[in-house]
Amino acid sequence: MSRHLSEDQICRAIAGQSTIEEQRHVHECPHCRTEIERSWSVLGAFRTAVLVRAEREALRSTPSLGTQPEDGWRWERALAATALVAVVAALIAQLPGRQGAVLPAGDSSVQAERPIVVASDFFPLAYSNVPITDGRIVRLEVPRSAASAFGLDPVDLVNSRHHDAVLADVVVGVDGLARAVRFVRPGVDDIQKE
Amino acid sequence: MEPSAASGFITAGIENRATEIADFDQVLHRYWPRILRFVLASVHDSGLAETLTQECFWNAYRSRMRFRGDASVHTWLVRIAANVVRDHMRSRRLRFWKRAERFAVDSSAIADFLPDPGLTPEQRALIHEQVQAVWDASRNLSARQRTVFVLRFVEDMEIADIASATGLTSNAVNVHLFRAVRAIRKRVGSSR
Repeated sequence: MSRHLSEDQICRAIAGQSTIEEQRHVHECPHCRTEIERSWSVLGAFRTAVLVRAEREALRSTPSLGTQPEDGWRWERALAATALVAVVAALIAQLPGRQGAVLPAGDSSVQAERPIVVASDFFPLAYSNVPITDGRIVRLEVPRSAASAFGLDPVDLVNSRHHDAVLADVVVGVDGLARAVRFVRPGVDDIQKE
Repeated sequence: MEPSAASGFITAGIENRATEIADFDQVLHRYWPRILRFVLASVHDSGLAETLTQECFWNAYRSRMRFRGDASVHTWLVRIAANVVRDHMRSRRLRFWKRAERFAVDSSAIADFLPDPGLTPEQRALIHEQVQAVWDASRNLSARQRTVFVLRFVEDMEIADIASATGLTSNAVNVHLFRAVRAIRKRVGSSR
């Protein structure tokens, strides 16, 4: 190869796609080598500039449990909601006087008394990876913000008795740890009765 | 047949990755800067990059149980980030941002972030101009070309890893990379 590399061949060389013959030419031709090294140098400077800028942005924005960005760190909010649900669920599960509020999984008798519309799938919670051998579903009222944290619109779930709360079914193991949550809302008939 | 040392090594690697993902808070802190960097270089907007990076980690957190460890955690996160960026590029909301971006003044020129290793004023002016030209030119690349370009020249990823992160074949990655380099050089200008 006696002539200089074409523009496309130079671009392929910069992208690391040269043929062996082109590589040999670059090795022997100072003109083409300088052209490629000049582009690498510009791209290297570009990389450095992006790294420095991103590093500064990251230092300013890396979320931690102690700080929260301006528009909220949704993952943290979800965890906060999860923790809230888990704690409340565990407390309720331990109260002997509240057994009536505890629904064994698959039990439809209480649901028949009070029509309920399931409004979401089950979302895994913080302890969803802890093996569960036995458990139950606990229905409880949680703050509207808990629904928001899972990306749901609390307006669609609002409980007519308490406008600041929504209903949720929490899967709780015998160990008291909450594994999953789904949101429900009272059926239309139920709201009208109230 | 007993497992070979190589297969044992691979299995151990997968288990390590699966273990790594279990502590998501650590994953968040370890990979946040790198993912933010990729997203920032893709969207050219600090505020939007932060929002999309949050969305990326939120999606990763929700799908962490499906992570099998057959790619590195970084490659897995880049794949999610690339999807988040792509979805936003397609969304109506982002079309608004793209329209607004044309009229916006970039108050933070990327070349301002270059360290100053004792260059003469002329050299500094030239390299600043060229770096800014690369930054501007990368805005006009197609989404795939930009993703591949950023992963190769900013993230320094190998072609096979870029293919894994983008879901493209290695050949397709090479084609997008070549076109991106050609477009960038056209904008920056060759010395010929």
